Amino acid sequence: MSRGQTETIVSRKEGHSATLASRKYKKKSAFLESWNRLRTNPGAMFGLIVIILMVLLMVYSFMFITEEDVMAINSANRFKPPSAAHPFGTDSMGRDLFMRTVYGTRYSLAVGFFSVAFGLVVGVFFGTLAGYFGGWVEEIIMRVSDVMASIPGMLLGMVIVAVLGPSFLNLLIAIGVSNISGFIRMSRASILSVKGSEFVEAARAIGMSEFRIAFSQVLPNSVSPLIVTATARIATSVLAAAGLSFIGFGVPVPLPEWGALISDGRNYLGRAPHLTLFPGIFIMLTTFACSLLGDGLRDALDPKLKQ
Amino acid sequence: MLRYAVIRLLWLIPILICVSLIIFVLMDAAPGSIIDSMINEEMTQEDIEELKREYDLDKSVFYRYGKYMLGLFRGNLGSSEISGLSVFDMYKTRFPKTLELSLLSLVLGTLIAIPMGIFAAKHAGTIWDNLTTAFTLIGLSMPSFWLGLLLLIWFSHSIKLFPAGYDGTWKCYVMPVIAGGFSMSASITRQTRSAILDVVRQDYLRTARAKGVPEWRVTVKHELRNAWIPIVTQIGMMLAMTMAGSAVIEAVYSWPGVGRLMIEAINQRDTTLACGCVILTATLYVVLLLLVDIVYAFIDPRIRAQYSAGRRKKRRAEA
Repeated sequence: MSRGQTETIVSRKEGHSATLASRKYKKKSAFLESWNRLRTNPGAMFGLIVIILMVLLMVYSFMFITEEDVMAINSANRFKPPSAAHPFGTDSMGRDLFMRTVYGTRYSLAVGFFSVAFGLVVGVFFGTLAGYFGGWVEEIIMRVSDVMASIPGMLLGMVIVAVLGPSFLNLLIAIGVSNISGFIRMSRASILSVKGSEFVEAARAIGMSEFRIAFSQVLPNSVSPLIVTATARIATSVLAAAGLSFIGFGVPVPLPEWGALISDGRNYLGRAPHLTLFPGIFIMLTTFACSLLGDGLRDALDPKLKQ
Repeated sequence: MLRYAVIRLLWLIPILICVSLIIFVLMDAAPGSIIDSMINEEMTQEDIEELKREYDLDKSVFYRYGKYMLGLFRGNLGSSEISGLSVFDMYKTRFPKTLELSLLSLVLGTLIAIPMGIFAAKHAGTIWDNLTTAFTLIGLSMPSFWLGLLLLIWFSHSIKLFPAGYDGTWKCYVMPVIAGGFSMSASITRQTRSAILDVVRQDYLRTARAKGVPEWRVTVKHELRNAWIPIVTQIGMMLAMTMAGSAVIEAVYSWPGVGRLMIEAINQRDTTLACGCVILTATLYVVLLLLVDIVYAFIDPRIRAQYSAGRRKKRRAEA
């Protein structure tokens, strides 16, 4: 008798009493199922690979590129077109654009990740409170969220940076704040959809506190739309950060944030178009990858939504 | 219908007050104040106090805000600290340029997007659908200012077909409209595709086809009309967002619109002008989104009916 057959018989013997033991296994398989769906989606895989490459580039830049490398002025080397020594060419001060662009990964990736994480944590906290508790708590939170959603993100970003001054942290705050209200709405809506489930009643029956039910029972069961939105928001946040930096409301010059690099390049459009071209490709690749992955995750986590 | 519009309009008041209050308080907290540039060494402490009183700097920020808002209703937002011109007038002269650009981009974007979205939905799952999806994702990922600069490199620097900045002729509109319209068309296409897909399997479409309604009429009269709402929302959102975010594309093309006015004002620390621009633009944004909501009711009698049955009930039903 082969080993597989033995296992089958053993598990059959245990029969239905094994449901408790197999719960852990089932949970894992839900994840595996989603992963398998994601894996067969070429677009999502492409996105994932690009994101991993970007992260590797960022790690590389932390390890091997110093601030001096990207700041040192070399006037003999100005406006060199792309070549083997300088794959992306050099800028108006003779600095290597490839190094600067790679060094800039940290800003865009960090803005994308942390501004969304900030919006997610704050938004989900209040959204869960609103969705789970309802009543006046919900009224207040949702009205505040309405007001926040009524301020255009770009304007709010400009105002926050104007008040706090251009710096990386302030750019992050500006974009993070504009991410909050979307997550409040999302999490409230998904909390509402699972709030009436039986497992919530069960949790209440065993005497769990309402606050704990909201965050340990209801929230984890409504997490997949949040993952999808978060991935998509990373893309828009990277774009917003680049836009703000481009008009001078982001990372202060001469730090090589991608939007700032493009802003520098626009002064030499006729003479050195590569200065504008390459950082833009990086922005586009990053947002493109995040959008693809976001779409793929949506299909993988909730096959019902797939059209 | 009237009831609905009135309810929505009334709801606008608290939102506008909050939005403008937040912006005013933030701008008020910005380092430096209006009198800094007026103070010189010959002034005594009393002169400075006098100046502060004149500009209400000795009172609370809410007092200044109240006074400011009263001015807003009279069309008086103070005058620029640098040019001395009325903020309201400056905004008014710049505004049509932003509006033109946004509307033209929107028209271009919509004209591309709706046929393309329908096309993708009709060929869902085929290579054409995938190509359209790829196109929209590229459009969504491409920063509009970058596309604008690429167009400048090709059409202005290489072949010198279009001017690089605003010169008042039709030619100077071409590139900014394309740059702005492209990303708009991407998101409208996406919305159109999924809205059409939502209705595509309805029985009434089969009925219409069965009784011999030509296919184009099925598409326009039956599919599109039932899919309108999300599409119109998207179009309205895009218009509002483009107008609010006009600063970026205006910076690329040195466009004399309100976005650039705002950037200049903030960079020159002209707080009165900056605050006025931001508050006016934010107001416009909120009003535009409200208009979209009201347009809904024109398109869809179901929404109208819900509102006449009472707001509360509808919101409970949604929950």
